[in-house]
Amino acid sequence: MSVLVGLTVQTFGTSAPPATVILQGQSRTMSEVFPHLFSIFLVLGTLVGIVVLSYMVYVAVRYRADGETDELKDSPQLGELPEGGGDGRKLAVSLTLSAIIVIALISYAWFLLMGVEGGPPEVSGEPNSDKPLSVTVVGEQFAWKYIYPNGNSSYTLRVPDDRPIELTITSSDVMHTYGIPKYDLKTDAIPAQNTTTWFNPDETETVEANCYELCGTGHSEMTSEVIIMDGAEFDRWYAQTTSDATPTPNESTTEGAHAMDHPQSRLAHNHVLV
Amino acid sequence: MSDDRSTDESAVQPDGGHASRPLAEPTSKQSTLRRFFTRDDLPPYGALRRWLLTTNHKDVGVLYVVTALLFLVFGGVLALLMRIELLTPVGDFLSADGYNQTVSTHGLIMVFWFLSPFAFGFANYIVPLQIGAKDLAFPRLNALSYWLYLFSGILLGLSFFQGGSFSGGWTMYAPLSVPNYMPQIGSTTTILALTLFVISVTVSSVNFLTTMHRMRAPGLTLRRMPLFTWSILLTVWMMLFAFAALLAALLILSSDRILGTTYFTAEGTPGSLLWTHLFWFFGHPEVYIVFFPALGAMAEMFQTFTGRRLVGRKWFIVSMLLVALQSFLVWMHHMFLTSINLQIKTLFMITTIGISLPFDLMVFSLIYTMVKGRLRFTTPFLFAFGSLFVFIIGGITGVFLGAVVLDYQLRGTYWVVAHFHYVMVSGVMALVGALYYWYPKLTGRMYNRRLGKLSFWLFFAGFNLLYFPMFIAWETPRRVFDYPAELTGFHQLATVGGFLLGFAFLLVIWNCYRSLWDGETVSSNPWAHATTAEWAIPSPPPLENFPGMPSYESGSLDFLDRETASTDGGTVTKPTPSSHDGHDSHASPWPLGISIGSFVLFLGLSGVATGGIYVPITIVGGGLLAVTLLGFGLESFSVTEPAVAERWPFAGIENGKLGVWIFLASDIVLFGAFVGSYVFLRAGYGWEAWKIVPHNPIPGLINTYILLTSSFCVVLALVAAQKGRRWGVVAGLTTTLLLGIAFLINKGIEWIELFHHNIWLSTDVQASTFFLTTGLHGLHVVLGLVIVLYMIPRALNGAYLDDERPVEYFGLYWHFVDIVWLFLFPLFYIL
Ligand SMILES: [Cu+2]
Ligand SMILES: [Cu+2]
Repeated sequence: MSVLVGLTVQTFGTSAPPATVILQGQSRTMSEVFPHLFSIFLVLGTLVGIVVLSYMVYVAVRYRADGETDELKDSPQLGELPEGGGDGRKLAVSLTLSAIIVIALISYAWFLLMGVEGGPPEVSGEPNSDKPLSVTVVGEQFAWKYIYPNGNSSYTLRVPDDRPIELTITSSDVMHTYGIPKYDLKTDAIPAQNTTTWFNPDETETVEANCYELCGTGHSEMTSEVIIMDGAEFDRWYAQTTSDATPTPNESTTEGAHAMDHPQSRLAHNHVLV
Repeated sequence: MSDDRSTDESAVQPDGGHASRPLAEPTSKQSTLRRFFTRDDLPPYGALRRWLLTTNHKDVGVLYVVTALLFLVFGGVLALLMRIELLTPVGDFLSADGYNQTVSTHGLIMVFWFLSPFAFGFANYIVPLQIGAKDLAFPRLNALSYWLYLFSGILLGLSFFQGGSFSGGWTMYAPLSVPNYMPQIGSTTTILALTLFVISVTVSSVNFLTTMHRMRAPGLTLRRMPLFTWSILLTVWMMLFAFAALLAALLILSSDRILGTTYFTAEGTPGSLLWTHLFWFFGHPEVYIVFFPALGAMAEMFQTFTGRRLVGRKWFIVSMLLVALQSFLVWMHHMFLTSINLQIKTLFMITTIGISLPFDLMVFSLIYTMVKGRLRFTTPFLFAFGSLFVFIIGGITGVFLGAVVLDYQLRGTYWVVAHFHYVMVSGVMALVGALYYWYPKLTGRMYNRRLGKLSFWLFFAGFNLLYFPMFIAWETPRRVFDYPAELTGFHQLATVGGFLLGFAFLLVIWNCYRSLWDGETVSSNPWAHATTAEWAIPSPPPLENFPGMPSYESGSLDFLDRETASTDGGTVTKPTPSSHDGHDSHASPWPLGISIGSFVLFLGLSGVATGGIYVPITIVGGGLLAVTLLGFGLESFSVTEPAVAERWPFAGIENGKLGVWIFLASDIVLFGAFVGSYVFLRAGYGWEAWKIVPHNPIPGLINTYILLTSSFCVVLALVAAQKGRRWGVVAGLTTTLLLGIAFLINKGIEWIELFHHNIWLSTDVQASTFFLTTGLHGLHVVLGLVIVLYMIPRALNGAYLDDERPVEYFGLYWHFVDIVWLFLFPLFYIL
């Protein structure tokens, strides 16, 4: 048992240094927080798992009945009333240890959560960051519609790489969950409710957004492109968009499959709700 | 152990009947039909009739186990269809909607129609044996639970033939689940099938709780109960409350689908959030409801096969108790990605971590039990050991999900899928161990040991090959057939594992089937070191289980002569006047009949909104249900309560009354969920902006007085019954009936008035909540009046003068209905 104790204490120790880093109250994106925390959980989880499971297998082999040896003293008898078999202290120690590990890990995760929930850094406080771009994301069976501050809307998300992006997410029909795996970002799209999340694009690339909540026939293919542009290029593109621009399904979605499932074919449906 | 205990196998007939009570031969004069329904005797196991009529807990247990295994095959085939689809990262095997139906029905079948019923097969068989009861408290209700379960499953199967089954996932999130988005009749059928299943569970919960709290052998206090029985006791308490919340959710959803109410779709109210709250309030306790019986069985097997008593048994029980209580306080951890605020997220993160710690203790307790033991790796212990092994992995990966930040990213991915399969199917593994463990007790024969061990290794390998790659491929979104191509290899491994696991299940089933004939016969206790009472009686046990009255008063199990039973320990109940000669009934055709009636009725209801053939089906089903319920009520079915038993904490009230109390407790949760839904929607809409539906509160006020008066009349009827005044009873009940009818007429006028103003259930969310909630109450009133109508002619014949308890039980129900109205009236008419 002392092996278990020693190992768990030791492994727990490895998570201590980063804890000092994060207690500075700065805002962090999910793509900073998630890989960091996930790897800590993974390493510790694997270690604890290996220790406990190896101990279990060791005990199983060690105390395996070899058939010939005589019965244990004081073995349980048929019809006896159960007695609490002692060893309460051993249990208490093990429980305390596991509780310390779990609670420490979760508390650390909670501090990181504060950073994520704080939203993008304040403009005034941090001179380097530009004013965040706010985009509204509307889930509709089976596409994602993006509405920009100037009223322009599109089925592809175009964002600049030089400022934080704030997303406000909702749904016009059923529940969906919006997620961009590349940026470890995910939140529910709920009818008549808004949820928010944010991220910091760092390189110009095209990534994918998925749906993570079963929302009907087209759920598996409810994806959309997220195009991260150079900041200046984005500004030029954004300047020529207007609120009148009504997207057509094929304009922005490259995969033809989406056209079939486009929400406009279901508008009649949505009216039933209203 | 005393010597007067008889475990002589020869005293028992091979069919399980007790030799000392020869089966009565039906005389040839009886008509065939009459003979078919002759119920004083139980036909032998070979006869189909036995299985249709039996109310014996052991027979019902076997029926549950066998039926659950059939549903396992059904759900397993669906799982394999999914795994075949996932061999490639694109959709090429099932249609998109077909895949969604497969995902949804697989989840529903495995969680509802397989796991719990499988565990409750053992609970049915073993719990009465472990506590020293001859049967459950209400044997006919037990059979009814089983038949409702079977027919609810058949109804689910039928849904595939009604334009497609439900396709919105086992979580059934709204508003995807309403007809605007899912118009198939089959989806309604699925929801109704689940409703029928919940009714079965509720009946079963009332029965088990009454049995376990009132019928324990003298000396068997709660603290001394075996761990399997403990796990079932806590499971059933959780079931009683959690399933009542699910029932409310399903009734509301059915109403949205069939009656056109707008709970989940109305604009300006948070309908979809309402569903998530209702569902997960049920859904989290459900995780433990499914897992606890497996845990209890694991504890039993660990003790038996290590030859040691469970380490920290007391703390093990305390842990289960804490989990059971706390399971109702963690549901919002399933909603971390919704719009709930940070404070609530933090709170639920804390409760979630809090609930994980007792599990650590239970795991350590099981591991330490092995230390210094003599471990015999029989097939059941291999399964129990393997189950603990994978449960630890499931538990560790679950801690990831408790950290809100990680949950943000892991939610909706295969991490969740892998995690809960590691936990849930770990439970299945333990229950397969339980099947092997109790197989000799159930059948009197030993399974094939070599095949048993082979089935374990295939099971264990298949399990890990199936679910472990899902952790590595966790970035796959849940419930999609279209996943990142680079993860293909892991999904293909998982598919191979899936088929291996499926094969292992078939091997288990085959082993159990073949060994019915091939297995060597076993003694009463084939396992050394088993301590619980089921191993002290023959395998299989005789019809009424024990050779004498089981008692633990001497400090260990004895079977006493019934006459010489000491009466100083437990509570003594005076023999009930209605019990005849101590000869208990063991068969009834009505549970099956009621279930068929309910099945036809629910099938009709699924499409009744579309008219056509469904209208006559509904009418036939309703008629059938009414007739069979009447038959059930009129049947004379005798059950004796044990004269001496441990009954803490319900010593003062008899079984029937406790049953009514427990049922009302679940009904409180049902109404609580309805009222909670109303308050939630109204708060989301704006409390003040919400318009009260009735134009005038006066009819409601009058109805309040009517109900109060009627409650008073029931009390008068009871007093008259106690004093032996027949006409007083009749007058009290008749006045109650008339007042109830007056209530309904008054309500009818009020509703017709509203309909005239064009206010219907579907008009707006205010009308929806008003009509549905007060309608549910009205339905309770109608049900009460049906009971009174049944009681009045009996009262005329003087039925309640010797035994006034039926009047008292009805009174409890009627007062409850009355009290509910006292809450509904201000909420829906005034505030
Ligand atoms: Cu979706
Ligand atoms: Cu949960």
